[in-house]
Amino acid sequence: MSFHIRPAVESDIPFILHGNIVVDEKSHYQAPDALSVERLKRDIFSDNPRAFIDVAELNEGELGAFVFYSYCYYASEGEGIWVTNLYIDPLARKTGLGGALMEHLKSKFPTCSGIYGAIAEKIH
Amino acid sequence: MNITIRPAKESDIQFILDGYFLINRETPMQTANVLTSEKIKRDVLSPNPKAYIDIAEINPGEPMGFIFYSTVYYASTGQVLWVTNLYVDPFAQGRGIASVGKMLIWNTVKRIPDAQGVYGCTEHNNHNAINFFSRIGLKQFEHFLMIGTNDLQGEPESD
Repeated sequence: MSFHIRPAVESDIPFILHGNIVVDEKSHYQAPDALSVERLKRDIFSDNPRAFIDVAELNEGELGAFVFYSYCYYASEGEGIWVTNLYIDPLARKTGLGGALMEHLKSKFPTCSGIYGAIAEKIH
Repeated sequence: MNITIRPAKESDIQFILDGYFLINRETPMQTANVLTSEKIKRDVLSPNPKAYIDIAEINPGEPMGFIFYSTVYYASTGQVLWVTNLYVDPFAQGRGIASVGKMLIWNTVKRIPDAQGVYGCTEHNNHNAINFFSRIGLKQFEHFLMIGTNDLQGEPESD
């Protein structure tokens, strides 16, 4: 399966919201402030974004995955990348897309100290 | 007790490094990287900081603690204050150690008015830190595990 990774655009919002709901459901997590179209427009698709989303487009132009991330800082490590969500559509699983998205982040931010995130203990 | 909070400056670097190494003596980290004077100058005390340090003083010129922080974004929460280090000098014990820690946290929260939370991490078996954070209002998230890598040359595993 071939794919192309690019920054998300506003027309990707339905896919991003769907993926976010799926991730929250899998982690049995009730978000205090659920992700919304308004918040995405304000915090991601704005002139001064607080976080970033890159999507993986499959060969037919369909969206297969996204990674939602921001900068973070650790006293010991320095600046890193905080992955708040990594979603892979069921049809695109077992294709190396998750690893490709991580590789994409590593090459996009070559000087960052690491890639970090948090997951629910119930997700194995 | 009169506590004042102010942004760190270059003359605080030694105090910050001393506090940082005391914290990490109690909770040894699995990392080869350490905070240095150069890193503080480059990433914090520069015109375009990547992180921030505020100092708590009980008397002018007598630093008692610091908070080292940045912001992080959570999809399901929004922007949160991320505390990478919170240090209170042991000398402040008995003079309101929790007050100093609490003031450092909540003063910073006020400076980031759209922050939706205050997050940080500590070792799961560091009960002193967990108790201290609990006393200043930061509770342990019950069911989250932190994951990550500093090996940015490593091969990804197939998903």
